[in-house]
Amino acid sequence: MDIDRPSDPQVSVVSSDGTMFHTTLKSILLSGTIKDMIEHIGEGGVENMGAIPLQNVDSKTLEIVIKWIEHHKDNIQPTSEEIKDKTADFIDPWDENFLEMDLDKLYNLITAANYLNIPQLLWLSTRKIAMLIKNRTPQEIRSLFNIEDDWTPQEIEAVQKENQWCEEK
Amino acid sequence: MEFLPTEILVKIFTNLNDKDLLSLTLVNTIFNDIISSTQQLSSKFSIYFKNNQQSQLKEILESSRKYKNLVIENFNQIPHLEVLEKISQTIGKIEIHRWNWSLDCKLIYQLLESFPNLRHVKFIKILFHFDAQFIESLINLRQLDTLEVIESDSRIFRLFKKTQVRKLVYDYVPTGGNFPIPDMIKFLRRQEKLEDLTLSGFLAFLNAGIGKIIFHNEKLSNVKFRLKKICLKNCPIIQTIHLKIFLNLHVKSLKIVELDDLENWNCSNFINSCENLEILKINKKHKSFSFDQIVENETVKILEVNGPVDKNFLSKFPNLKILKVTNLKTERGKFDEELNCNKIEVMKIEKSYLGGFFKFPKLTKLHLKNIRVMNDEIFQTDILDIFVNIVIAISCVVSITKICLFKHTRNIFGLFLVSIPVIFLAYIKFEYFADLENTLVILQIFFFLYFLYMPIMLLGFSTLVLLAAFYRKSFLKLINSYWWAVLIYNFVASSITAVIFWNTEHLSNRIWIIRITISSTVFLYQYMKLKKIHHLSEEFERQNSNNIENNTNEFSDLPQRPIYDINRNEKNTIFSLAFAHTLFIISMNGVTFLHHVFNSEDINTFSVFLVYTSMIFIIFILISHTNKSIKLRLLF
Repeated sequence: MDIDRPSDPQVSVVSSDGTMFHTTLKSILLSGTIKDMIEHIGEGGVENMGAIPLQNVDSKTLEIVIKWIEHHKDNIQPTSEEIKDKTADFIDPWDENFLEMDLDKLYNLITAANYLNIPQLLWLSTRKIAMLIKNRTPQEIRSLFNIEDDWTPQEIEAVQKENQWCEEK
Repeated sequence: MEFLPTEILVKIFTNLNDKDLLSLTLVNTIFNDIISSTQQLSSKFSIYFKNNQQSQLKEILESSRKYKNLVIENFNQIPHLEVLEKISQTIGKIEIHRWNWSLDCKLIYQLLESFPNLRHVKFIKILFHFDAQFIESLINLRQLDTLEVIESDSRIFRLFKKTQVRKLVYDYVPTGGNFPIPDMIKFLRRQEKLEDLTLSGFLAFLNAGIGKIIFHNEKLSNVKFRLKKICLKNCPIIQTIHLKIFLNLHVKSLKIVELDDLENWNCSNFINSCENLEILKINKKHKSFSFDQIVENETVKILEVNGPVDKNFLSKFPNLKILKVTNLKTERGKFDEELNCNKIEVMKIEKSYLGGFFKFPKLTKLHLKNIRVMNDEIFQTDILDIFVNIVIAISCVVSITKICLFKHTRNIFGLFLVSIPVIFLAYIKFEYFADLENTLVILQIFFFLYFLYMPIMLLGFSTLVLLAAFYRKSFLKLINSYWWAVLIYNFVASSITAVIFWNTEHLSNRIWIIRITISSTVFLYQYMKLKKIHHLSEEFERQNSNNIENNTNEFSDLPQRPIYDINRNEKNTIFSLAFAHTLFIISMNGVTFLHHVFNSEDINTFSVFLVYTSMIFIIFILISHTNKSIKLRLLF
């Protein structure tokens, strides 16, 4: 299927709570899941396709995702294989700004990026969380992410002892 | 976060290093289970056996983690057999470092034999106790890929008689009375699939005539491997003939060449003869290498140079895509004309002094660090620099005049005794920072301290300058904060003195009120101007960063965003503060003079005031005539 056709037809997607969003074919093809879907329909099917239902993404998250894919529709996207080797360091300031959101939204975005198979967005958002974890103590991580401490004292002692072997002193 | 699916948590955690993963294992049981059971994550952990820890290894035996790296340092025995069995299948890399005593070769043999999946073995600073009868060689290491022998006894190669490696790193240091190189040479001769060779500490190697054995007298057909990458470090080579013969074997296969610390060896012939060279890294500490002798090379795609380069060096590499330069110095405004390469996509420039450099049409990624940029578009610095220099220079001259007028000659001697060597040292140590402006600023600070009659502060400042000179870290920030300190000091001291002495006859104190007013005005003015300058610098950075897409992942050691570390802010602040200081002094003198005029006659104060005002007046007129650049408008 010729993705690079000059005309960029409109495509509609519907979120889990029934809100419809309009975007362009070029942007929506950044999602591997939808790309597979469209390739399955085949040549010429796009115009008559109708709205694409996305049952796992709610409207708030979908709005964020569409904002991102529309901004990046002209950029070359790395494949998930390339992302794996990415050691990573420059982040586009736009992306960095874009990812300034509260944790709940970020979790939803990660889940959506995973479902829609957008490697670059998934990488960016997981990395964002990883950056929050960096250089913090276990207690700090717990309070930052609201995680319950379910260790028994004996268990945690065993892990602490094991970890001592892994520390470069 | 714990409710996210495991696969997503794994994705998040892969971005973290071993230290952060260790903290995560302690957060809760879910995270610990995920990290310990995912090979991709737990293989980031290393096990360290160090300094004879005698504690229980029970935890490791019960662990579900799949350790991949093992580091043994100064451990007086091989870890328990059960532990070795437990980890033997997963360990892929083993490092043995720094034993305080000779290590028995049998011990190493047993240790290495117990890991069938070893791919990487590294010895650092190890001396062996070698038993003459013990000649068994390791047969188990079929998968070994990389062998590193760093500053260690090269008899270790005897163990690897039957091993073929792909990568060898050998750092030679002469060890005691024995002469162990032949072992390394025998090892090298047996290699068939070696591709990547790093040799350092080469001097003794060749001077000892051993080079003849390895590269010359032996038939070259004995060398079965063909290198793809060669790295020569710390090799002030005197006798190059054998090296040349050896290198000539590989000119067709070599793709990566790294040459570090070149002395007495003109490697340009070698570089020219490499037909398929793609990556070239040159550290030019010595001047014996010159790009002039390099012929045009169309295959090189990545070039890294540390040190000064010749003009037009980029024209030798027409297909260059990635350029990394460090410690480059180009003349003002010349860089853009001389370095013109149409295909460069990524540039990384560090610790350099440059003219404009935004004329690379294909450039998509740019990283700058510790750069001094001249001739950029927003700041027309050239004219301004001269004037600021004049301001500072004149105030220095005036300071000297003032000292002479007050006849404090014995102090002048002391002052110069301290300041001259300090400035001289700072000048040498700072390299590209050391130019006229900064030297003059330092000088001015000395004079100012002198006028405060504070020899202790003077000494303290000298120490600071020296420290900064040796550490080379944000020296300009130091000066900047110093100026602020001086201004604050003036303000606070004036206020306190005014309060204390308000009713005494001792000082004619009512002028202190005026001093306070003046210094606070200067403060306010200064503050507002700084804000403006700051805003402007931000604007400059924003404009420039918009030109470039910063999404590179080429250089993994870089911080998250490109840094435009131009030191522009600091420099502006210094100049404006220096100027404010001068203003402050003038006003002080003016007030003092007026006071004396109305009370008693004092010819010295009068003459000082006259010198000051006339000088400053001239500067004012000069500067107001060249009111062209933004910064000038800000200053006045």
